[in-house]
Amino acid sequence: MDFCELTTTPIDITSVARRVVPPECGATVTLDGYVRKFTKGRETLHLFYEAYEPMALKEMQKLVDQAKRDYEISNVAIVHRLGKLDIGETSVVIAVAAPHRKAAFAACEWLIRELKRRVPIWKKEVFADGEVWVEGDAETGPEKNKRG
Amino acid sequence: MPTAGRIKLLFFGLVRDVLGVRQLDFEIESAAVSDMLSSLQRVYPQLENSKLLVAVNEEYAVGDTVLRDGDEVAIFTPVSGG
Repeated sequence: MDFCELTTTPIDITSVARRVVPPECGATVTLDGYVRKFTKGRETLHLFYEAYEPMALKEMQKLVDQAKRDYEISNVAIVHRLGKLDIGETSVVIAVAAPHRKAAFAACEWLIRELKRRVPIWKKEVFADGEVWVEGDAETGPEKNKRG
Repeated sequence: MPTAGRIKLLFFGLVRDVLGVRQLDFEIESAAVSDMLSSLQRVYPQLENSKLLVAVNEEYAVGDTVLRDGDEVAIFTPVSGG
């Protein structure tokens, strides 16, 4: 089954990956995204993630729905952690189960790219000598989506 | 026709730090998101140089999205999850 979650506790990657497995599938591709120590030459002490939670969950679900339309995959899980994270801790897990691994790899790559572009979550980098809210790049933002 | 009304503004990340507040009620004189952003940037000049994104009732909005009384409007800088 699919699921999208936000959590403030450490993510159990194996548990997430096993929860998406259905009988008809042959492979699950799992992305484990975690906190790196160095960014552009600066040493990170820790990260802090914040979300517009109701909208983040909606956007995550939209990504899951679209991935299932576009790729031959079965189940998708996206779990993102919020709050303070130390170096090496997992911030996001995306698990995609599919009958064949090629679609699972492609869908997983698409999902992390789109999550970084659309889901309302923000990362603050805390360094020894300051902190900065990371801003998405020029590509970041929604598709054109007018409300009627 | 522009409709006056009251919206709930939510701020996240850098925007919240700059303004020092998580949430505000805001009177709107004109209905368009772009006008609301201009007003906000006049009231809070610290935001003038930031790229700002807007969501209305948990959906991304564009400049000519129409605001209505009672809307929940979130304002934030480009997202950086993952």
